[in-house]
Amino acid sequence: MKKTIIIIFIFTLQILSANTNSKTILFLGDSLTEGLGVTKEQAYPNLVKNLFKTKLNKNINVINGGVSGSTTSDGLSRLQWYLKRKPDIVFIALGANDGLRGLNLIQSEKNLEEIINHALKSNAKVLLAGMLIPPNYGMKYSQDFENMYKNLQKKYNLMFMPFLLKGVAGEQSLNQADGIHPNIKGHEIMAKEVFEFLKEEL
Amino acid sequence: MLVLELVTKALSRSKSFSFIFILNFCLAIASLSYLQFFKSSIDSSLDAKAKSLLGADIVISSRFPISENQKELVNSLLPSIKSYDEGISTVSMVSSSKRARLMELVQVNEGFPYYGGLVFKDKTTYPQDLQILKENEVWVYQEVLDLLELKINDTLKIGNKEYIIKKVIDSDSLKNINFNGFMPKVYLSSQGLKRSELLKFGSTGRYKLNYIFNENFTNDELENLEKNLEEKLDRTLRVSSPNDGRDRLLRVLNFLTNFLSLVSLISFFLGLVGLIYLYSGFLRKHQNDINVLSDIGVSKKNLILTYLVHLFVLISIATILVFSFIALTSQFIGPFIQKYIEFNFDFSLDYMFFLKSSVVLFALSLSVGLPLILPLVQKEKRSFLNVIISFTPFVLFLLLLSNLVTPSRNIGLYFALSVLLLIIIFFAVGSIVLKKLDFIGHLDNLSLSLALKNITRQKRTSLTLFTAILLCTAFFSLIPQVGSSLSNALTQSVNERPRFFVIDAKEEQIKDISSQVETLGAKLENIAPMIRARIIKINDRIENDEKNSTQSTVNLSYRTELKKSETIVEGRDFSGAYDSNNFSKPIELSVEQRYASRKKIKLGDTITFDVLGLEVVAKVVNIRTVKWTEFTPNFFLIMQDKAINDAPKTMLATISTGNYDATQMLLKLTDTFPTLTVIDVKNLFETFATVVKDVSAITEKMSYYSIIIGLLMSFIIIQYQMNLQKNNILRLKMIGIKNKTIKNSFLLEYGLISFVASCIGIIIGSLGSYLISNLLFESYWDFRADVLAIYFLLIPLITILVVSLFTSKIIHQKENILFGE
Repeated sequence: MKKTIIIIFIFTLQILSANTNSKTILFLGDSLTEGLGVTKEQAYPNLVKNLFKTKLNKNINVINGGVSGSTTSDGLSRLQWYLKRKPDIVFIALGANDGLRGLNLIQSEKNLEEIINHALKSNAKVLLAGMLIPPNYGMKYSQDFENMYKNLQKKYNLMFMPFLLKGVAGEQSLNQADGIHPNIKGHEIMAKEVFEFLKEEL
Repeated sequence: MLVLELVTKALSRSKSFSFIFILNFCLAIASLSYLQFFKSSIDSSLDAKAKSLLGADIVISSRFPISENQKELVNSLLPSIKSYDEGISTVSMVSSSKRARLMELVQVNEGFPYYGGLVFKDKTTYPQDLQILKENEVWVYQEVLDLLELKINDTLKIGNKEYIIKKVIDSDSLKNINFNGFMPKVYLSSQGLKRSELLKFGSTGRYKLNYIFNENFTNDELENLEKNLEEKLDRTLRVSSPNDGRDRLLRVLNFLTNFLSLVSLISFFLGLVGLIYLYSGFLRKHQNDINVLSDIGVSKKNLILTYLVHLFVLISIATILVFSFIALTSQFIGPFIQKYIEFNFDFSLDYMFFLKSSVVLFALSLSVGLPLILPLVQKEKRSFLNVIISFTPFVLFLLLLSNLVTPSRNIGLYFALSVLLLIIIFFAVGSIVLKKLDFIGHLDNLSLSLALKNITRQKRTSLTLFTAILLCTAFFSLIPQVGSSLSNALTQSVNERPRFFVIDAKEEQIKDISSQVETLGAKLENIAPMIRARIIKINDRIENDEKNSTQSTVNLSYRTELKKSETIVEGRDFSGAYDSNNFSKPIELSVEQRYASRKKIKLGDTITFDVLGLEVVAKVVNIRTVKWTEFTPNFFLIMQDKAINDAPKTMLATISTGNYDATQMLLKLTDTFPTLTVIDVKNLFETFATVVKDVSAITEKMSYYSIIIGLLMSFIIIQYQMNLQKNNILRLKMIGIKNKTIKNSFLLEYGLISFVASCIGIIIGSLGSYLISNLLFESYWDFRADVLAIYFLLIPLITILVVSLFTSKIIHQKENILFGE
């Protein structure tokens, strides 16, 4: 009987400690993160949360800080707003709209740097998700765009996921009719990739 | 045969009546027919224009390369194909040695577009004049040269390859009137696009299948085909038919054609007042003939048929005259209008239009003829209820017609109902007033006494003339005021219309952007914060469920007060700045009317928003309308100031039009503030402005035409009325009343009627123009005191002048001539 009580006590303690230590991840992104065309529950940040629960039995809190049309220029002000919730990890998935609009990448890189600095100052762990721009934007621009993330990763020695849409981009069956935004299946694949990337951290 | 004989006799015995009737009716239907003809010309021109906007009969497009299976499926669902084209467009960085910009690359194939095409600066055209491009050549919009600082025959770089700029495009029929059309275009051949090596796995592009069919389908038939295809094809394929483009143009022109239709209805109504008046007078005059014919055994059926055929013949003559005139003049008008407004109107004759109009006019003669003829043939005094019932088909016919001639639903119907109501009110109130006045005894002034007695004793005549003049003045004051309100709203919007839209600005950048814009000679205006949020709940209704969560994303803004172009239709203004630190009290919210009705939001509702993770509760304090003529950033949901000001936001703004170098503005701004997106909306609005301005100029002229017709019609009525007064004049002369007194009595009679009718008419017209401008056209109301003063004086003066001329003529005739009549 004593043994059973001790086991129950230890088990309860574990659950309690697990719940109180649950980490908060802020996904700071654009329409890909917000889940344009799918529900917020079907978007990859929420699916990542579910995967942590089902695969690792870990409870994590997720803030979906994705805003459609968002560029790196408004990322900082949004980050400041979300920092009120004191996230442990900031997953930066911004820049796709800068590329799609052909914005000056030097400025985009500066904006991302400001976001990273600010997040680091708040003692959050910063993870960076890279993007690739479709080949039709031109070889040089595409290359510069890819390098922008690599430079930042190197400079701040960040955990880096080279391509957020790995295995999804360009696949008709995984995207919506606009060919840019992933559908439910696409988000599931993104979630798996992001989960694999994040689980090391947690 | 008897009927035809009687009709011929009636026509030959009353030549002057026939002439006045035909002239009256010609004028009435001329304006309606001309305006409807003009409207159908606009419609067919828009049909043609819409086809050239699409370039084909049907276009299937996709963001992904269209597979052979998909193509086979599409082909199996289409009618016999005459020709077919596969197009691709994509966006890419295009660069010169100085700078690079994002542009749209469009692959152009031999022979496409099937409708419309490109016109170049050197006046050559494609596909009519030119051969397809070589693989290292491009055709570009002027903006491409401006943005990259290049000139013709220079080279630009797409991908890793260089291309020579062979031609600069002046106009492009495929340029859509929408915000997607803002990107400068570079046209290249399919070989040229392949050469760029830009399209490979993962590239974004729009793939198109353009079809033209052997059969010449109407745009509506193509729209049905579009719907049918959409049902059967998978959702990655988007189907477009010409009506998609036409609808955009139609929306632009809708308010003008609405106005045009109201103007034509006004002329028609005025004409009908004259018609009813003239024909009932004619029938009363021939009451004895009817009695004699009835006594000698002509059946009631034949009598009714005789007068119906008589009326129909008169209407037919007028119709044939007007239609012949339209047919003749359309050939002259077409080129004139095209030259005048530079819009390619199709003025070819549509015989269906004439056929439809003839059926309408036949129905009209039947519906108006029967209630006028029946009581006289049946020789029975009809009860008031019976009279109303007998006129019901005519009234219903008018309401139906009014509803059909206006493009917007119910506008014509409401208008006709209001006119009908006015007529009923004036006849009802007028009868009571005249009955009361009849008790006035003798006045010292004989002329006035005679005038008043004439007015009160011939109630029907007085009220008809009064209503006719009242409707004339009401319409006269209404048309210019509505027209001027519309034109003011348009001109205002043309002047205030922005040249650039600035999006994605940071709050802290606004000051610098503003001073930069000012340095270049323009103004940064309409600065508005934009905050992303989601609606979680409206009252207790959860909005953020799986089904509609994608629609619950909204853009919020905040302001201290509403703009001039916004009107509160329900509720109150904001009470001031929000003053709670912890959102303990709801934030005041203003909701746009159409959005509110779509989302079923009502005044006083509580809406819970998720503003980027933070829940805020707002209470709807007003529902507002936004003027359509505003071409500035606007929001469905606006919160009071100081509530969500801290939330992350982007700023929107516009840059005014003006005499500055727009290319420099664009270059400077994008160079200094690289994250800004600056959209040049000149082309978008120019197309709009040209079409609207030109059509509104025509509308204005048509309004004057309508007014002139109205005036002529009133005087035809006065003249006819004066002719009927001959017996009265003779009686007065016989009892020894002086000519001057008789003349004065008529002047006073018609002067009084005209003066009172004008006063009331002007007030009603002004009220009507206010209602039409504000409610129906959502436009500013322009009060035109100058116009009103002119009509106020003009109509009674002209009435007195006409009456004076006729009375003098009749008075000075010898008694035997008057007897002879």
